[in-house]
Amino acid sequence: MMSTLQHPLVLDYLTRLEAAAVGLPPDARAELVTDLGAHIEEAASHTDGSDDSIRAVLDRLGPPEEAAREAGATAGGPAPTALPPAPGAATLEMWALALLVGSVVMCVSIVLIPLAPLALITGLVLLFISQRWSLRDKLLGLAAYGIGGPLALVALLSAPFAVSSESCSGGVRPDGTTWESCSGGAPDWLPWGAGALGVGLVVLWVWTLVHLYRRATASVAESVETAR
Amino acid sequence: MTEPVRESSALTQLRRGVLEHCVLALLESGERYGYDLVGELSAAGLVASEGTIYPLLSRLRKGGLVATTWRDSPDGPQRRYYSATPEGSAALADFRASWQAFRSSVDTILATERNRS
Repeated sequence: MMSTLQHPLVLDYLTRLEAAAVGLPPDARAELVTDLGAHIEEAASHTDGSDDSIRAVLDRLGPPEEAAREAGATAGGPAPTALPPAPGAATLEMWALALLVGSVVMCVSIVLIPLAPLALITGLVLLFISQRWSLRDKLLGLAAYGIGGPLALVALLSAPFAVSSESCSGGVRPDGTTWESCSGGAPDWLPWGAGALGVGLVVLWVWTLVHLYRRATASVAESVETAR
Repeated sequence: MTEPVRESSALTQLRRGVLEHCVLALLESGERYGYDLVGELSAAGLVASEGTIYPLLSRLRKGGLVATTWRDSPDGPQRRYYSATPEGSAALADFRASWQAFRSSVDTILATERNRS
């Protein structure tokens, strides 16, 4: 008598099961196939072995994909998806944003400049350990505050030196006219360039702040929507 | 293959919630092999797809709540026998206590709702 496991319907079922369980660890997959195979053999031995009776046994077992899914949910299987962020208050994220914006404010205030690096670094650490922001959000925050901030500060502090390094000499020509020539110093476009850069940075900071704030407070569904 | 009638998701959720402990209760009353156990659960209306019991049993085994042994059967293939471990019995005792309280709470609320209408 042909073994039940060689029956085309059973072979087909077990093949589908193996395929559906491909994401499981090998031992869990083998166990699942062995268990269901033994069940089918046992169940079929209580029937007349006809195609219809085999079909009924398989119908009662349910789709092999369902059993594999159940095993995936219980046997480790593919890496479990990360828990969605809790809908509660985003305390850590709010601190991160306050420190990042604070570091910029400290720089502008001049007197608090020494504290700015501390606020910036702490803010960046919080930014990167947050579970609500995606890597893209974090890189955006790093670019805007971690790189844009220090660059702006360096530019701000070095501007007076650029201007003061200008040296001029002048005198009175023999014909009585005066002359003056200047070298070094800031080129004519510098104030405009610095102004444009400054405005750009402020826009980047505000936009980044709003974006990160919304991403931190958005519900799971919204963040999925915006991440697309 | 025809699609089985979709059952109310509430019933499905309830089954899922109690199935594990119903398995433990059956195994506590005596060891069973897979096919027998599945048959009893199926007859009690506790499983829609019998195939999903085996992953559940595998999880219980890994959690140390059931023990298994393969044994020859008088006729036909080897059978894998399942039995409840002491840890399984302890988990079942906890569930029994919780279940009594849970069931009477639900019964009370359901009765209240019906009397109001």
